[in-house]
Amino acid sequence: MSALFRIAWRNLLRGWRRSAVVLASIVVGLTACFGILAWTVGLGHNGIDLAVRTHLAHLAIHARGYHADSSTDRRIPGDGAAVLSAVEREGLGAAAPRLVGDGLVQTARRNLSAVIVGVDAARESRVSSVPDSLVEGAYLDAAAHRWASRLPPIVVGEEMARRLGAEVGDKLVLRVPGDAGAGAFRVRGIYRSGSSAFDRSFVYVTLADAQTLFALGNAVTEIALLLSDAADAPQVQKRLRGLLAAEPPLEVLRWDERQPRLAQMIELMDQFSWVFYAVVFAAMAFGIANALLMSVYERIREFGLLRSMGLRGSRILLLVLVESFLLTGLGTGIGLGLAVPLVAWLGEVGIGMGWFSQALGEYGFSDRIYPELRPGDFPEPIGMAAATALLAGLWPALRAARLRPAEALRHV
Amino acid sequence: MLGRLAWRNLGRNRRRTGLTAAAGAFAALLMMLALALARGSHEYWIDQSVRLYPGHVRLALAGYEEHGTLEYGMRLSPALRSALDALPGSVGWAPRLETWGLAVQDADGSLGRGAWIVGVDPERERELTRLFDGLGSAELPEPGAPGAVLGADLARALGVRTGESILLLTGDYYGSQAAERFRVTGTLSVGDPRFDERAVLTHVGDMQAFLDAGRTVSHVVLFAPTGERADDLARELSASLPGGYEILTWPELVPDLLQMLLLDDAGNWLSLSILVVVVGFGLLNTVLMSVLERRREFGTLRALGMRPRAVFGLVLIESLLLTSAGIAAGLAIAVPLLLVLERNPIPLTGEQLAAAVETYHLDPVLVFDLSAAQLLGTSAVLLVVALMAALPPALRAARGQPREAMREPT
Amino acid sequence: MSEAGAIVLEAREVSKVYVSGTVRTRALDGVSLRVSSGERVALSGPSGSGKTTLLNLLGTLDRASSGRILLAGQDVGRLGEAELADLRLARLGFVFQAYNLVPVLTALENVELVLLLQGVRPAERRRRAELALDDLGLGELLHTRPGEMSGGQQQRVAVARAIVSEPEIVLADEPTANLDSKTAASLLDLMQQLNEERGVTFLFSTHDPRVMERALRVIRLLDGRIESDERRAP
Ligand SMILES: Nc1ncnc2c1ncn2[C@@H]1O[C@H](COP(=O)(O)OP(=O)(O)OP(=O)(O)O)[C@@H](O)[C@H]1O
Ligand SMILES: [Mg+2]
Repeated sequence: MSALFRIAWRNLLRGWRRSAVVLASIVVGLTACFGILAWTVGLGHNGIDLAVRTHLAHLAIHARGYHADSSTDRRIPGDGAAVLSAVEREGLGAAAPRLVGDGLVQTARRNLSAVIVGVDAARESRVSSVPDSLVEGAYLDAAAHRWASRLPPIVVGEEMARRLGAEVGDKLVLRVPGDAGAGAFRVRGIYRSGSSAFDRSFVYVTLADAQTLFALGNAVTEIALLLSDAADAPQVQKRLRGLLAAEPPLEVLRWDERQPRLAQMIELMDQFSWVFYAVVFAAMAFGIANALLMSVYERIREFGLLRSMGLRGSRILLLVLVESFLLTGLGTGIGLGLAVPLVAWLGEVGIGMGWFSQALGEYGFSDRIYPELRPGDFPEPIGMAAATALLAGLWPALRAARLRPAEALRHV
Repeated sequence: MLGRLAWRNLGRNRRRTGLTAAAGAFAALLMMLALALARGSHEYWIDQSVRLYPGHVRLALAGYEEHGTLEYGMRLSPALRSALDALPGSVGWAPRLETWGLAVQDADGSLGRGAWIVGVDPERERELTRLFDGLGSAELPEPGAPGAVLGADLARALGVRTGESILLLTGDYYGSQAAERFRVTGTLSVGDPRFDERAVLTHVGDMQAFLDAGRTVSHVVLFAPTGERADDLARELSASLPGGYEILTWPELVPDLLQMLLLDDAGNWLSLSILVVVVGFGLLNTVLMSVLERRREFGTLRALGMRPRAVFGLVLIESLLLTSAGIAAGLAIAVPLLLVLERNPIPLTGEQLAAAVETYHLDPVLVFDLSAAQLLGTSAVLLVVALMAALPPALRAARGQPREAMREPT
Repeated sequence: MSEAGAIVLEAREVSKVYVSGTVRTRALDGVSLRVSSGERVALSGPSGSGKTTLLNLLGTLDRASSGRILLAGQDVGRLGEAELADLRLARLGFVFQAYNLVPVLTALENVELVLLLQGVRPAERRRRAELALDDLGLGELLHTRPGEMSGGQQQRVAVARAIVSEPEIVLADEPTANLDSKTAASLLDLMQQLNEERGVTFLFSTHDPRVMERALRVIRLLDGRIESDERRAP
């Protein structure tokens, strides 16, 4: 077998120009494949990260039935303290209680509907990036409460502030369904999360103010959990379900269960990159098959000699296939050698997508993509490269193996 | 005769020529299909989304785009109406009065959702937009008896059915609190969550009464016969009106969709360029091999008195011919295929696929549009690639030594 | 074609050194000779003596390391590749040991190719090429490709190609080496006839004594030098 490799290798070197061109096409194709895949994965993660870090978190605990019908009627009583302490005692991740409800934000003559989120400022900053994303003013820190005026503070998104024409210090009225009705707030800060759709509708007030506004006593609707590693979500979810079995009926859901579309989109992108691979590999296969066929034709006499020396057709088949695999393997190796550092570098600096920021923002992406490759992204293209080597090598290999010695020796 | 020489040279190694031309045909076919798909689907999606609500041209008071609130509403005076009716470039217009509010379940006042409340002229919308396409005529809100059509997801979240009523809460035109009961006359599902999860559509007259807004509307949308004529319409409109208005055309009204499609185009271009580069390498190899095999022949041509430049040209012609054969094969498959696909858009059936396309508020259907310019463009690109791929071997052939002719055959 | 007796081709103190790697081979060492119009010259010598090298230099297919080559009085050393190509096209004809016909072209097209390069119009081109092939007894093979011809037939087509443009001299490197003796003899008859009847100037290299017999002048090369240069009566 090693002799076979040596012969195959020498043959590739003998037609080095041809081998080099084929190699170049494999390297370019493969590097591009990995580049595009990495960008796609980066885009998907960008969308997930943004959603997870602004609001979704990795896991969320609600009263049972909340996911199907998110109403403020479905509550976790007692500020969620019992659940929070259970989570924190077990060290399962950062947790924050929230009261989430729909409402209307009003200025003198403008109305915008909003998702009103009551938060515990200190806890919230451990599960969400919004407290760190202020472009003006400050977040709902302790000092802010009862700050400068008797009105409670509110933090709004940049997009909403623009539409309302509101600035830090301006008064806004929040109106919610139910008996309590309305309350006045003063803009304490303006944030920019990166997703314009989010910034247009999410506003933040303190948990206590939200409880007053919605007349919910000391209830919360949600406890958000951010894990240090997103991959742990399923295990933590299982443990939490066990832990919370004793509590009033609660549901524990992962981000991908709450936002299945986001997860589906990534899967779909993966599938599209498959189509792209197939196209590029097919194009490469033409080149590989062609080069091998040429090399087989140049060596017809040589094959005749090998046959007449008693080498079986199957060995010749193998020889040509080994050449195909060597060539493809080498190209794949070099392609990986280029793509991995390239993606690592791009993953550090990111690719600015400022041109498309409106579209990306509207669909919940930020405008800088950090390409990345996951370990699971490698087997597919490598497997496809191997399949390409086999398919592209088969025809030339069969041609070579089928030559009859006498006929081959006569060939000039 | 040089052309004949080049053509016959292609016949020397039929398998090699065939494989290379097949690669060219493969690339041509894929490029043509991908571009026709992008063109067709993009046009379709743009048209669909423009005709759902935004319109070709939107007329509003200056500042409306920035804020979008009631404060920037404009009076739809009889003079303005007749000016709109008189526009030659318009096929029709529709007024809207929009605001944001709360839709509250009537039976249980604590269950409410943020709502986008829009007063429309149902007859005009029915004629010009797709908004009411899924509704029977009986379900349109009637003026005078405040009725509303709710986004299907909104209705579900509120737990209300057709025939029941909801309470709408918002601030009126003058800033006072407004609350009124509306009968739900139907639900609508257009595949865009901005509508399905938020919209409450009512008659513009009822809306004006609810908001105490007199004859005020938020904006008027106008439709041109085609998207390309929108600019002309906008120009006519601004010529026929005094200052103080804000006139936007559809590219400014759906910038996010346009960018999304641009991003899609960019991705397409990137993938197709990679395909072309890979196929270009294959071509380079074929031409290079054929040149290296024929050193003695090129030497002979040089010895007979052919100039280096002519040898160079000969190799280029060979590459162009080879690629043209591939392009011709690609066209022979692509054109009939596209003619069929053009008439038969492919609906996306996969649940995931459809869901993902819907994420972008788009119809899950693949539409192809055959364009001669794209076919020509694709062919031209491939011919340029053929020239570039042939350049190194052609240079090599041209630089070949005439003394190779004397070399004894091995 | 130049006037009989005029000097067509001249080499003055020509040397050629091949360098491959560290090895330097002096293939020609100070060769001087003149070929006049109407001559029939054989270049002979053992293998490796420099015959092909000399023909390459005289045919402007390669450049001398030192010394000068004059073609119709013009020093070819200073000319560029395109100018040399034009010069060959106008003044020289070649016949190669391996025939070197373009395999994808028919006999007629191979002969026409030279006229095409000269810019002769299609009708005229065809007439002259057919005539040349007819004269050489190839009238039956006009539309046959080289692959379907015998070696002798191919070499006759090559001769037709060499003379169709009426060059001042035809250079032939071992034209009979790939032919059997009967075919070789008939090719030599043909060349002799062309020389005697039409005054075509021939310079051919050979090892073969029977070929040398047909020449009116025999130049012997040994180790890159002219050992002897003898004229014979016809
Ligand atoms: N391209 C080259 N590179 C190096 N050496 C060369 C080259 N061509 C010829 N030679 C050497 O120059 C010398 C003369 O070669 P040339 O081919 O002219 O001889 P020849 O008389 O034609 O021989 P033959 O009768 O075998 O054809 C030989 O020693 C040969 O090895
Ligand atoms: Mg020789």
